[in-house]
Amino acid sequence: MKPGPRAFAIEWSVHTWVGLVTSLVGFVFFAAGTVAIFRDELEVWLEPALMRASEDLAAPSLEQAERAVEAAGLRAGARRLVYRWSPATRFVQVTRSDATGAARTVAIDPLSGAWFDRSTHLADDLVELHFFGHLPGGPELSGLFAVALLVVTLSGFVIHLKDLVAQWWRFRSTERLRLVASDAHKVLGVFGAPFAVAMAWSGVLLTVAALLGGAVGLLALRGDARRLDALAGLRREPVDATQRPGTEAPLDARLAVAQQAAQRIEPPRLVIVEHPGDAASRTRCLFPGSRASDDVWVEVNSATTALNSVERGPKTAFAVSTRLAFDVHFARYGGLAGKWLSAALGLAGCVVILTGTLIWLERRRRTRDRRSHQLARLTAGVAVGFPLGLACSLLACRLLPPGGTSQGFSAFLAGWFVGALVVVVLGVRRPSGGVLLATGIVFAMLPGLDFVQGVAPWRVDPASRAAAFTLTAVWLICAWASLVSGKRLSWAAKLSDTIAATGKH
Amino acid sequence: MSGLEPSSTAGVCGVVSLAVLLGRLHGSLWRRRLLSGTALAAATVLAGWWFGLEGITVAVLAASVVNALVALGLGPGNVFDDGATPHRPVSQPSTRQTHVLGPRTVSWAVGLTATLLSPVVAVTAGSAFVATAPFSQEWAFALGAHLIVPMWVVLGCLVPLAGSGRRAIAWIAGPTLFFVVLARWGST
Repeated sequence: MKPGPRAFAIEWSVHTWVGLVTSLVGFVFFAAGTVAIFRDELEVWLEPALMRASEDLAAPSLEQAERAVEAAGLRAGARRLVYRWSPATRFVQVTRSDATGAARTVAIDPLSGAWFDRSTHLADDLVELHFFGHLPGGPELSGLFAVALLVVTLSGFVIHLKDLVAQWWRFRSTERLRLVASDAHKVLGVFGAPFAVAMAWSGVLLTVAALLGGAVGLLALRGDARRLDALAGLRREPVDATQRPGTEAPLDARLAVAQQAAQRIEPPRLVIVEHPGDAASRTRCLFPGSRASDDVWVEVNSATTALNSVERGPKTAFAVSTRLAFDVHFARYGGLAGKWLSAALGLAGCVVILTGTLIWLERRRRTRDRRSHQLARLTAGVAVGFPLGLACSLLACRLLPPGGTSQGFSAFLAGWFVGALVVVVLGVRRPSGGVLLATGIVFAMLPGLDFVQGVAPWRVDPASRAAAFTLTAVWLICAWASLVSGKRLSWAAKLSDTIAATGKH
Repeated sequence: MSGLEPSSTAGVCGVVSLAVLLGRLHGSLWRRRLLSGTALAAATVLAGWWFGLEGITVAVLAASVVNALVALGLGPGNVFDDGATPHRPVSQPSTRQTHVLGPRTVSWAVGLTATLLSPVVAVTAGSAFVATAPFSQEWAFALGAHLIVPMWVVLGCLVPLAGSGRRAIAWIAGPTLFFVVLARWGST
């Protein structure tokens, strides 16, 4: 099966132009998404205190955590307290949010009761960058770009259908730049297609499902919001505070009731206390399972520890599919190996996007226009600036004195901007190489920094050891890749030659 | 949270990788493809049997990574002389490509119509499905809601084939009206 010449030409145009328009955003999706896969590990690595081994031999105690919550002044005026247990640290992290939505996160050692304010939210900020969470309407916008990515994938499949089998395994590394880029684009595009489609599809579901569901509800359910919520498996029962002070049973007692109701031995992963200190306070506990149907939510009356409700798994087919999309998108399948595989395919996605732009630029060599020149610099700048920004932000979080939770993300944006600016202003060839070499040097310093700051992977708390070793491996791989590509820079050098030749004519 | 233990994950990845590599290293091109395809399918089925959907996901990811590495020449096996020779001189663009590089093939009107109106058709189609599907509303809603994205994507590729903005709008308007009427008629 092959499309006719006209259909082929149109699909080629769709693939090229939609791909070009979305290329930089797509690069940010894949690059930030690859970082987001290691969110749990990164969150712990950024705060060495979360990794340090304790000399306290006492058993972990939730009473200690409650006392620390009081001491930190988290309860006064709180709308919600969220207790979160990360698999990468022994610390309990408690986030307090008030009626205005302002949040403060404190890490509490359940062994000693010691607590400190989290000094950086860089890990969360990088995850939010993946779906433009910092911008109003950003998640919905990223959903639209994910649809565009699916259009690019489908049109690419259509135009390569005829030669797909021949091109699948063909990589001619000794040919000229355009063919090398073209082969890499096809090989990685074809093998990365299942991953890219799964990520884009689940990303669309997670970002614009509410909009799409609302539109379906308006047409098919005549705007019946309650029925729509029931079909989507949404639960919207706002808890209003009574404004009357109430007593609270110890957290230990509430969690014991929840564990018994959920028939689980392990403690919950997440505990949400609504309106702490109010007579209407409720405690919701999540016991996650390996499958969507194994998730258990238990709600307990905070004052009496009476059981309010037990929900086992998502209730509707739509809710099950949304949970599946969540697991697929956040690489919650397959443990650490699943994370590494997803990270590799995420980076392959970055290469597919960059080589796609490179192919287009190479095809336009003969036209020698100024816009190609600018696009080449911008693409190279964004691509090499991103790892520089990441490396700078990691270094800033570990070396600079605390200067606000957004300091790390500011360093990331500054590093990214400077890296991109250097390439855009000075040119593609040597500046890109210089930026990559600088990036490689910073990444190579990070494992040494662990050693200097007393959190070498083999010396940290056992709960954080896997995370520390994982990230050490990630930094070393990043350093190696940056240094090697900075040194060789064959593609950028040839691209630069092309642009220089264009300028002379 | 994952149901697959790290050792099991490594096992699934190992089996799939071995299947791919054995297939790639064996005999002629078609034998290799046949063997690697069969081995890969068998490994995926086994992974699915042992670990369910999670095993299949990990198997597909592992197969993607290993295949890509092998194809790029980063793994064992000679991948450059596997018979997949180009069917035309590589330095000459095909007539199709020449055609593509010529005048613009998709007008702004068609592009805008495809971008702005494709989701409208997709949403109305999904709504009509939810309203009229002959099975329980829970399943109708789940399938109808999931129909929207694939339909949106397919329309994004199909509408540009209309050729002109007017024809593209006509392609969009007819089905949209039909689906809206169907959704209103079927909704209770």
